[in-house]
Amino acid sequence: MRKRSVATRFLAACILAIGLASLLSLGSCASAPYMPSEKKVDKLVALINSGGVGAVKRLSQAPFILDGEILLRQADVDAAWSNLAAAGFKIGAPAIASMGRIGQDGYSLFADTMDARVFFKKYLDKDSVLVALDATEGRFYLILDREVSGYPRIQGFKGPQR
Amino acid sequence: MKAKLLFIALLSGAAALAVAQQRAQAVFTDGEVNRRDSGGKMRSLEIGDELVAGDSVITKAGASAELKLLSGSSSIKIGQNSVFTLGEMSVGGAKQTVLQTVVGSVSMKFNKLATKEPLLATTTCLAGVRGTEVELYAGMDGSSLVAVVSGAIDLQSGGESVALAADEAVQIKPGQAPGPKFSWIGKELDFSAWNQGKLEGYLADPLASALEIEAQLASYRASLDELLPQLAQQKSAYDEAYAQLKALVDAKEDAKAKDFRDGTVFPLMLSQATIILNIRYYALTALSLRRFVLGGMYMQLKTRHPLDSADPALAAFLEAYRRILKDFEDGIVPQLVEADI
Repeated sequence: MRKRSVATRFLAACILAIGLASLLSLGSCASAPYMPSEKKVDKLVALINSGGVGAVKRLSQAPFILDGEILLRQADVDAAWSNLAAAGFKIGAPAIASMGRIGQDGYSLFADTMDARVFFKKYLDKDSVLVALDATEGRFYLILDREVSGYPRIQGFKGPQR
Repeated sequence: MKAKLLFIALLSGAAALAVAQQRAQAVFTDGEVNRRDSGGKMRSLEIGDELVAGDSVITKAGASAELKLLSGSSSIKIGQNSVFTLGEMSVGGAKQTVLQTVVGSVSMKFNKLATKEPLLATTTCLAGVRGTEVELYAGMDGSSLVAVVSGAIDLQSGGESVALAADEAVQIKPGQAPGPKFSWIGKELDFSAWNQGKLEGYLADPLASALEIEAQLASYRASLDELLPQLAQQKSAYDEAYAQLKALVDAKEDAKAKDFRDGTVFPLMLSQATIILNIRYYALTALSLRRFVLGGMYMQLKTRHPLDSADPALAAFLEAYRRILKDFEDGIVPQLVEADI
């Protein structure tokens, strides 16, 4: 009887330990901030350069920041990508110059205005990543977030800066 | 402690009076319709949701929504790709609801209003209504088209006013007086075609459109420059009266305190609230103009000439755009809070 009790306690402790480990593991997965691989960024830039407007629009939801302008209407975000594709826009020979979390004054890379400051504070979170791309046209900035259909979502776009 | 409670009770009546506001309810939505509250939080608009002053409705492509004002039986139909804001301002010391079509198309029909009829607005004009059914278009360049179906309206823009009766319409450019009245009977009112014309006009001469926005924003800044010293004066008078009221309450002179509250403190408080309401109205309308019109203009031009900042049209626009943004930061932003963005 006593033996069974010890075995039962041991089994219960094992189940509890495995359960806790699983929960901790799941918890850390859910809370780990997003960081795209360089390959994913290249894939996204290739999609933009291919003029795949429909797919890029699906990755870009309002509110969106274009240079220093907050686009709150999805119609404006969609129009921006349609216009860029129609203008034959391409990011030439892109190379990732930097990729990382957005610092407190990250907004100033887009615009030194209340709009840009509040957009970065209010609409971006721990999963938002700032990517600087050096291209033949100059430097571009992309604000990316967790992936949808294998591509990072796009929350902001600026450039080129020469 | 008792004196403190009495003091709070004395003032709470005025505070309640100051926050009374018109509300609207969503009675129909089709497609993706969002609601943005005065704190800037965006969420889906559901049938039955109530909107208060400061709330906006934003419709996506192919979507529409209908609201009704909770006092009376007025209906507000919001077309696709539109932004509609429920605002308020003070006219002659009385608080009035302002139904503002920021961009897009909105039809409104007013019947049997239990309270005072609201004001209609775009980011560039303001109109009073009398038993009216009206169509309002707010274009991408800040232009407005107001067409009266029934009833009448008195419309103001650029310091001038015009009265419109049934079947009459008028177009208004930002910062300018209303254009000539015309009869819209027999003409098809089509927002998409009208707005496309505005886009083409803007692209043909972006600098001219930017200068119109600059003039309109300058008029909002002038209104603020007029109101801010008035607010400072009222605040100083209120602070002084508040200190006197507190002294009367502390001295337990309840009857005198009540008379002083009703005769002096409340009027000063309401007068201050009225000025603040109008400061907020002008600042938020300027923000809407900057966000949805100037921002839309920038987007349209920048994405059509993404790599060509030397393009003369783009360069001239950008010079005016940067100047307007600086004026906005200097003159309007101090009256905004983060929740507005």
